[in-house]
Amino acid sequence: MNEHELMQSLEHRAGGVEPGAAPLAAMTGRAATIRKRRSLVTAVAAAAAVAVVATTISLVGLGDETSAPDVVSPDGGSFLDDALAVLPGDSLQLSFSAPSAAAARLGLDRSSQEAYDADLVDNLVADPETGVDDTGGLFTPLSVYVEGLADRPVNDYHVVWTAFGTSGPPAGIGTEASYQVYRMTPGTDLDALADELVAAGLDEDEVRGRRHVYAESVAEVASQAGLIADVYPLDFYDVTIDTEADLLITGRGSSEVLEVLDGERESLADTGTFDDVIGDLEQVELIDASAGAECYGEAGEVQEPEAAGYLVTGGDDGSVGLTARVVLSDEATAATDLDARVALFEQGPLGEAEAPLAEYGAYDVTLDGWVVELSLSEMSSQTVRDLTRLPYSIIGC
Amino acid sequence: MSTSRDTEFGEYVAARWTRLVRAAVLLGCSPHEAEDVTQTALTRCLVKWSKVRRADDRDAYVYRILVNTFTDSRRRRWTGERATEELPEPASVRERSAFDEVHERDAIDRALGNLAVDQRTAVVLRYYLNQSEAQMAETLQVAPGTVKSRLARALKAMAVDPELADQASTTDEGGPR
Repeated sequence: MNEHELMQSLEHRAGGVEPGAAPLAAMTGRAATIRKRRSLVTAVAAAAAVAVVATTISLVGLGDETSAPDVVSPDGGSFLDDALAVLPGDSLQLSFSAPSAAAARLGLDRSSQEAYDADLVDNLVADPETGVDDTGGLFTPLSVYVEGLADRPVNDYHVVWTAFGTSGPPAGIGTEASYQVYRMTPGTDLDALADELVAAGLDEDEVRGRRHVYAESVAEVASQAGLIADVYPLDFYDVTIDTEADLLITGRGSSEVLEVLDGERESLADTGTFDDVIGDLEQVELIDASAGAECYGEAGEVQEPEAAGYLVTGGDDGSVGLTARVVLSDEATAATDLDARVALFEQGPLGEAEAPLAEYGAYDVTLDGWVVELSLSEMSSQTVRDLTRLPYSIIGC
Repeated sequence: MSTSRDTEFGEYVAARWTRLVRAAVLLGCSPHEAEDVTQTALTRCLVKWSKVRRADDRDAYVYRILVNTFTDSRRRRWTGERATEELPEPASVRERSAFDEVHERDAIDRALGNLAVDQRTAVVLRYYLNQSEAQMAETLQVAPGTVKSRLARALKAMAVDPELADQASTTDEGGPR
């Protein structure tokens, strides 16, 4: 196939897709809403403290819900510990973020949902062309829908932490074993969410005593814009709620999570699959980790990891710490990997620019038993994220 | 936002929406996901519209946001992911799903899917969005030499793709286009 044929084939392939009309109103309406919120926040900030509360309650009509959600880890431990105790122990993929921790570090205004949303949007749209950020674990899968979810029972304001994973080998949303778990702030009205989804056409039954709303096929209930009930992401076509635990689970893998909650299945805290990736880091805001991922191919003597991932931790001064860890099978393998990986860092190609690692920022490599650890600085968490994802990955093989 | 800017943005979206959605599909999105990614990208552009309109190459700027948005959408996924559930397609696509057309579409999808993400992006920018290598370098924020090497690797991989070879021979014989 020559270049001309390739162009024709791509044109023909793409021509088979007939998008719906551009949702221009949704886009411009969203931007307009952002502007209104900023104006509201500015006006409210000028008022006396008591008037702030009264004005906010009056304007947004949220009554008692305007008080800041009580963001605490249910067992008093870290948010990550809480998540690991809920997630199925055979999960080989883990993406965790704790927006409540990141919001506290960044100083987002939690005095009301409107204030929080406005601050969230400010972070969401900051320099998308550069990808520079210190947002750490601020965002969830709901973040990009902040405008549409503003008056809905479930949105970012109420998320303490969230984790995506799969029970078994890595897979994608929509596969049987994938799940997205949200720990919500106490009192979040998850029943209202379920009612809303049922009203939008989803079926309802019970799974292990919890309310479960679902569609047999996402095609039955997704709008042309790819949303459920006009505002929620696609994985909300299968939702299970546990109102006592303030847990929302989306995706087909909810039953495995419920088995953990019922004490009938091991959790990740039990199996410790990612313990060496996490190490002794505290204030973890974000993790992207995998165990047993396949290697891309040739990378010298770089070894195939048992598990690997990158983590963002929050600092008391508002900064973020960036760490990547590669867990090898034993100390000898790790020593071999260290030498090869250091050579890879020095020579590249790594990341988007296919450059040596030093061109992205500063780094320090250490070996701790069977774990190769990178401490990274002078680069954004987005850059680190890309460095761990692209084909020329710092933690891959 | 001023009415004139709304109007200008609206005209831009009207002119580019279909092309951007289709580009997102070629990048690896399902049709519905492509609309979502495109909408998110354009919303980001709208917020920064004053910057977009000042750009020397407005399309290149928007493509850059689209590629970044697509990459963000893949943040939670892991290499080797294979979704097993077919997402809904527009009725017009379903109606055209004759065997040959499905075969051709699948061949292209699989060939693109076998490329590394950066190579696939390069192919879409060069051969679907018709960017020059200089424009691609600007869009991807990489050196022109990097663009060349990515395209070269992608074309090399696609040249030996057996399904595409079959497709090319079918096309040469007057098969479905």
